[in-house]
Amino acid sequence: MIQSRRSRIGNALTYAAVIPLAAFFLIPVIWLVSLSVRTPQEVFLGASRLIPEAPTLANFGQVLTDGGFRLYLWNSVKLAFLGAAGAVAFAAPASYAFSRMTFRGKPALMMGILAVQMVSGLVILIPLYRYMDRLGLLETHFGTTLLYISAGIPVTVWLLKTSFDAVPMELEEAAAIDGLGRFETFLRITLPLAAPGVASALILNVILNWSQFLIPFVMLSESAKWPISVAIFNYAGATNATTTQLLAAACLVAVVPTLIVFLALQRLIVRALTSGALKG
Amino acid sequence: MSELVLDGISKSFGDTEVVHGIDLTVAENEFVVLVGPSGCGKSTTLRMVAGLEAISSGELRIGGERVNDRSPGERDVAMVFQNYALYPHMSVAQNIAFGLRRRKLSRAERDAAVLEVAKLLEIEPLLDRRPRALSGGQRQRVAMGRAIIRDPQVFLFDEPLSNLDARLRLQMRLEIKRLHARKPVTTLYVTHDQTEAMTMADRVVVMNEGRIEQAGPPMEIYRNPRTRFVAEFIGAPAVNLFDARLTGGSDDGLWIELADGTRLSVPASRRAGCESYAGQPVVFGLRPEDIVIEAGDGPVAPVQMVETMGAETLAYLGFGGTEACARLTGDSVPSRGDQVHLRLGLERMILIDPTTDRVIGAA
Ligand SMILES: Nc1ncnc2c1ncn2[C@@H]1O[C@H](COP(=O)(O)OP(=O)(O)OP(=O)(O)O)[C@@H](O)[C@H]1O
Ligand SMILES: [Mg+2]
Repeated sequence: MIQSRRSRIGNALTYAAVIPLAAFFLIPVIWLVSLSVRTPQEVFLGASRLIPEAPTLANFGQVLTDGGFRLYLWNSVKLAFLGAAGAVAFAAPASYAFSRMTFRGKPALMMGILAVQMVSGLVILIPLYRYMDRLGLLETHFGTTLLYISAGIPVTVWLLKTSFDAVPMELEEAAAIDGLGRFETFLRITLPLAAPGVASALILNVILNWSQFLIPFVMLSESAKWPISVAIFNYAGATNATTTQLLAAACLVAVVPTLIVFLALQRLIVRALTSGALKG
Repeated sequence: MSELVLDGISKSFGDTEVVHGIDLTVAENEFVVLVGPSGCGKSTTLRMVAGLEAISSGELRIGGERVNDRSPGERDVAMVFQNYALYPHMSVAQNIAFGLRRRKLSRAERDAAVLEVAKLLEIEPLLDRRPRALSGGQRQRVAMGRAIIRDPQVFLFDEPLSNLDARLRLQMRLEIKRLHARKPVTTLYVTHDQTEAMTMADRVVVMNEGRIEQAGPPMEIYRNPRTRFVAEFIGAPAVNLFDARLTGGSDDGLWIELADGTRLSVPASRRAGCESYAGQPVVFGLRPEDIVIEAGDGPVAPVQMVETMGAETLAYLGFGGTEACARLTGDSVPSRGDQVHLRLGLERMILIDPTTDRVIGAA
């Protein structure tokens, strides 16, 4: 009895803490949804009418049929996925080495990689700009992707190392005895068995890249190359009350792909886990 | 299918040497079992043979060729791991076929080979399953199938049965033996279970603290251990050891005097080997089956505990100042508290020099 009363109190406290937290994050989203379904007239009413009298999907229609907006979305997709794939591809060999080999200075190197992660993007923005300028990569998606990749590598190395660590050493040893070389073993045994971890790393990178703002903002001034984040920012600056509802719709459209990617790949992970890819 | 030679093989991890100059030859198609207590370096030795661990010094030869610097794949050995190490993302058939990848075989040839091995191991119905959906014993078979199909020069086993329950362990033990009889391969088998070693081996190699204590056929090791360690390690229940003293008279012969004052006459056949120890302390060893309860003029001992096991009975007796285990066959089972007469098989006693822990008179 005492036990259950205590756990009930615990539950109550948990809810008391979580509800305001959820509200904190949800209120802006609700506000955004509310704005995005209003007619221009109702936008002027502000917060006094959260649920508009004449809700409309016209704003979404206008945004989605807008050629410019579609281009921004496409740019975002391209940069996010290329950057994520690149980060995973470059991090994987490093993670494998950190997971499976012993060499001098390994702990220091691992900490070093983590330290890079902690450096704020703002601090290195100006030197980065100058490097890219010198390399002639400003205003290119190629250069931007490279920066996405390097921004993603540190956390990806750590993530992948953890998932490689979870693949039993004996499996690689068995493969070695079966005549596989190191790289083949990595490709045919370790990588497939670490698939859930690799998928998570990909998702994480896609999401981080999708919301990446500083890098493309600095790298790309030509509007045709902007990803959605930069485009929305620039429009928000130039906006007036008559286009607020369009901007809100655009914001929502920009956020939805992240959610879709997250949910889709999430299911993939679960499937990988339950089909026995892990463990004998 | 060729000879395996370990020639002064050592292994150091950093500054600590854990395997000290192992010399061992496994003849073609011989089944050698490496047995010893946990941590004595069995796995390390096996892994050096497999190529999973670098050899610190010494030479390893397979079929007369030095293979120290070859990768595991190039040594043409197959290994069965303790936890099977099946590839979880492949079907049983793919697991078994995996070892064939390096051969240039057609798909049909490969499938035929897999089927043949599956028949041999009676796992045909399992070929499409994933390892996850197999029982321990079935996984064990698949792991063996993966090794057998390669038709390797040397077969290595690292405690392959230790994850199975007792009944299955007996069954697989027999099956491995049977398989070896049908399809002989040079085999090095590691275990810490002395029963496994005794029952499976053509030749048992007892290891202790990184060294070979003794190597020989199972019965040889059992009957003529060379050191106290081997005497104690091999045999279940373990050999009975008593602190004793050898005393000799001029015409009286040679006597073993136990801590409780019991005097046993050394039989004539054993006198020659130990006369020089007269007057010195020794450790007197007797296997449980060499203590027999029999009416006569033998020493008398109280029965302190009885374990019946069906075909045989273990009786624990107060004897020689300690407790001795007797393995009794037949249906007359003593009960606790009985006073019984013993007949001791002294021709088969083991005498150990307590200063060196070596068996007196051993080669
Ligand atoms: N990678 C390693 N680094 C350092 N020491 C090691 C390493 N591997 C094994 N050892 C040591 O070498 C010794 C022998 O180990 P090994 O695994 O060969 O024992 P084993 O006879 O197989 O024992 P078990 O029956 O428990 O498997 C042990 O003392 C162990 O601590
Ligand atoms: Mg071991």
